[in-house]
Amino acid sequence: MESSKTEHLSINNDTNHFRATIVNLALTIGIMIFVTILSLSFRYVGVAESNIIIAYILGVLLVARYTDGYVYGIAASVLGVLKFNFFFAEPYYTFEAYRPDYPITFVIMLISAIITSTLTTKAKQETKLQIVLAMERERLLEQQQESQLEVERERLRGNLLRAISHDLRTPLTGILGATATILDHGKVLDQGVQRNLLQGVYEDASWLIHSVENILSITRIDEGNIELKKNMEAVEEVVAEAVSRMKKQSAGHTIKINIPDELIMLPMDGILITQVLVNLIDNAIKYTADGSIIEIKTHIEGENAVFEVSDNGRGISEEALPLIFNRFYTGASLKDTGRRGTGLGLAICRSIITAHGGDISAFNNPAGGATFRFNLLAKE
Amino acid sequence: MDNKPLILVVEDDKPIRNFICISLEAQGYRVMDTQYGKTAVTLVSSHNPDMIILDLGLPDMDGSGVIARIRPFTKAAIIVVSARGLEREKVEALDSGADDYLTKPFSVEELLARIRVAFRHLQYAGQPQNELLTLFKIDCLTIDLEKRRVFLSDEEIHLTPIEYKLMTLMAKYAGKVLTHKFILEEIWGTFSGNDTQSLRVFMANIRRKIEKDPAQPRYILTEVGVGYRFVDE
Repeated sequence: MESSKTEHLSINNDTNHFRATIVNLALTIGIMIFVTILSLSFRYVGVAESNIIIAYILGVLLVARYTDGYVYGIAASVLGVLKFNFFFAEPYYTFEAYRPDYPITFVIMLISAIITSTLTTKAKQETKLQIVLAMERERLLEQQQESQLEVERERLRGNLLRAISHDLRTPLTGILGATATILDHGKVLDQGVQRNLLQGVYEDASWLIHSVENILSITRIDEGNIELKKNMEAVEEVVAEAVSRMKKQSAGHTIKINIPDELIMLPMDGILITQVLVNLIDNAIKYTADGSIIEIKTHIEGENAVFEVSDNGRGISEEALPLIFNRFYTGASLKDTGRRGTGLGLAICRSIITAHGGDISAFNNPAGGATFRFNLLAKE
Repeated sequence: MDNKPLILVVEDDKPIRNFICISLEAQGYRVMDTQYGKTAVTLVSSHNPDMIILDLGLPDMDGSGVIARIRPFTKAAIIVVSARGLEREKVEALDSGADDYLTKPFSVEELLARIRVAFRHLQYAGQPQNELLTLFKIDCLTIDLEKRRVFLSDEEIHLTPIEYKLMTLMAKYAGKVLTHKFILEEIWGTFSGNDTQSLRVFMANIRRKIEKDPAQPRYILTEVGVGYRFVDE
């Protein structure tokens, strides 16, 4: 696995290989020529001979550092010794050496140069290997996360099916029962009873519509392709649309709107953000008593536009707070319909806001009640 | 005695067709219905209905296809019906000749309100130019089309020429939804791609002048993703 990875990283076709050889050779020769010129100038200004040896070893180190494999470093070591011999060992410009200690100098110089070059190359290769290993680990982690996501998606799909089959079947049974009763016994049932049954049908159907819309949105989000149709939208228009859509359901509540006087235009998918506001308002209506006040506020905070939907109800319990944006989490409704939500509304809000690159959160107000807050970037 | 308006209902779902027909008949309209787009085209040419309620999701034909086929030879008002989230489909239908739309699920009340508006505009359209109304009044808002002045209660509102043009355009089609494209073409004569931003700014400015609370408009309603609707009642 590792070796194949290394191979994959190294040059794997002939022309590239050839080009790399040329580059390595050029580097080796170039560095060694440079060192020679440097050393010649050292001698010219009278720097001691030992410094020239050190300069050559530095040259070898640089070659080992910037070329591939051991060959060039070792070649540079030999080249260095030869050059030292040729240029700097008396007599100059021959490969002869008169001083008796020169052979020892050459041998020590060669050994230290070779060790330097091999150590450098080894260190370099180890670093490379570590990088390869790190990349490999990263890739494995990604794969793992991917499969975890897949499992999560499967689980959600299962839950969704269960939610659909259970939550939708209940009101459908109600509708079927009520209408069958009226069809079969309409003549003997008095007006009040019939009205009562029809009222139930009406409520069941309204609930079904709301749920189906949420389920549709969540499946669209699930498929991973929330297609954002971003446009510059006026905040006041989006808020107005959401409030007007909720007017019927909010008969028992007071909805206050508090937005800045100046026009705020933001890049957003207007239809989806309207849906977020509708879900938040719907939530506030569901979990507060009749007569409660729901307030919708927006303001600009730095680079963000902040939206808040708050109520003066009982607030959210500490245990529920971290869970409410989870799918299928449902709180106990205040209403006596005995019907829970699908637990999708807030999860959809979170998905939509996340897709917009914003954040959504919920908290209890110091003065009582809860606030849902989300923000959107004010600029593209 | 058959001068009651004739409405053609084109809807493939039987219960919905049923409830629309029953409500319309209860209002005294004559009603015909079909579940097929092709039949609808034939019925329009043979019976010349005054209004068509058209579901956009038909089994045999695309809703916009039906509009394209019938619009050339009928003056009937066309109200399209489609689901929420399919705003693009609605805009397409409106721009290709539909007069208004209803979002499923809708109530009987909404349906009847749209029908009333559509009939009123049919009547206007039938009148000669000089008999068109010169004074538009709704709630506290008055537009004097002759003197080109706008009043809120008794106070005169000062509008820029383009704002006034927008107001009169929307008042002329009060109650009907107007798409961004339609408004831009009527006011500026062009429709430059998706540049509806300037239109929003103009609308916001007008709202600041005539609405008490621009976030809860009384006169100019926004249909997000579609356009604007000037209220008419």
